[in-house]
Amino acid sequence: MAASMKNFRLIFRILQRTNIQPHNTIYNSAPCQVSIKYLYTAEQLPPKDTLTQFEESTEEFKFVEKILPRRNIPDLPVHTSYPTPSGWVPPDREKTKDLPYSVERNKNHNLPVYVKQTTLRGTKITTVINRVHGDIWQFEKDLKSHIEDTVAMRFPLLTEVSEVTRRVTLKGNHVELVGRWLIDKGF
Amino acid sequence: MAQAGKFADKALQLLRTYPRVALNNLKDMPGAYKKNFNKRRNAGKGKTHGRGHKGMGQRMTLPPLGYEGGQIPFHIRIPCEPYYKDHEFKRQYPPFSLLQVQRLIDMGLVDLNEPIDLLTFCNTAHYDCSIEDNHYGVNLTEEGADTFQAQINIEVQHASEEVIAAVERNGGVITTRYYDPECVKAMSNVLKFLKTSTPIPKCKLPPQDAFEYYSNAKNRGYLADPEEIVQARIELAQKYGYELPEISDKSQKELLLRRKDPRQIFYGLEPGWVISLKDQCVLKPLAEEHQKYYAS
Repeated sequence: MAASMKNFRLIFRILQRTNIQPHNTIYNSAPCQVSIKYLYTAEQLPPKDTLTQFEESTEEFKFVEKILPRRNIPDLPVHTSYPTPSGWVPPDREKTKDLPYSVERNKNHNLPVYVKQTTLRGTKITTVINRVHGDIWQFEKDLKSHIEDTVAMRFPLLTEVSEVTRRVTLKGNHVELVGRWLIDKGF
Repeated sequence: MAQAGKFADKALQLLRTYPRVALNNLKDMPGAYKKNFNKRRNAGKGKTHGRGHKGMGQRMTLPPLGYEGGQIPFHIRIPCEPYYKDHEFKRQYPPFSLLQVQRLIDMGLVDLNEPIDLLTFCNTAHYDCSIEDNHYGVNLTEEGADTFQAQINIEVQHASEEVIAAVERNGGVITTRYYDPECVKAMSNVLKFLKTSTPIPKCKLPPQDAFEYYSNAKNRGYLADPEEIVQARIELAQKYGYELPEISDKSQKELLLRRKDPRQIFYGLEPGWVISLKDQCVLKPLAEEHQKYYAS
């Protein structure tokens, strides 16, 4: 035990002297940065200025600008026909003019419908619809009647309405049904 | 009904006299419940009924299942079975489907005039790649392969045969490419990397167990022979039943032929260069030792 501790102290002292970075993790797979004076003898060591020479150029900076990420979400390109190859459909304003409620799209131009697993192991699954504007109670009533008609349920669907945060939650996973219904309505 | 036998007629007549089936006259079917009996004892055999003389066997006082006798504990007696050995060091490739790539193109998040690689996925913020979780890049999956319709020059870390067929059917090009963790770290968050003002890392060659994958023409590996890849493209087209479209546009042809050097990470920038965002310039090392190290 004492011998190993002595070795450890010795290694630690050498590490302190040589500025070797720790190489514990696999991510740190780059070669250890050892100071040059320990790799070379005094005769082999190259003169000081040879390792610090560099050339400065601005021509290649246009490639750097292409690498940098965008700051904002870009505007939507105009397509010839809808739905697009990936199945995206734009909202139809004329269809939803007379309805007393509306569902706003999120910043990525998608419908704000999500599935949430509230408890551990996903025992409690809910569907959440955000950004519901207008008459939220009428929206909840319409949506509830639609799901109860299409899905053969033994009990009435449990729902929760939050007027302040503009949010409707349903019990169970009904994402595809709700999304299809909202697109058909024109949101 | 008349053709039924004598007994069937009689049974039907009897049925008509019976009362209707209701809750008050329901009864279990014969054999609905089984009577438990001692399965250990063999009644067919004489004398000891196959149980021997004396002891726990005869008196049914055997120890319960899972009981451990003896002195050696189970973790020494049972040999080790290391199914998940070194699971924390295995390479992970988080998936990204062709449908998601098509959605990025539809939303205008990806520029089709530039080749697509791991950097473009990370820059859209719709894909997450972190070396803390042993991520080594993107695995392109075949969801939405039938509806995929875009001509692209894409570079991924892992791709199945269906994905390669879906990309090449539309006249695109796909290559599989290995990046070591240091490069993945630089690509996953470019702004953070450039602010450190360290030289662009030199990409290492794939490890021994991944070398075969990236040097195979069937996987469109970046270390494969280009002549073999041309053959493999024709073979795959015959297998899936499509024709490789001819590209007449010059600028499109240039885009599809753009490839990186095996040591290179970013297009147009070579390893070893230092980028200064403040002065908007690139610093290139001139020392012989540096150039020798960063050469491919």
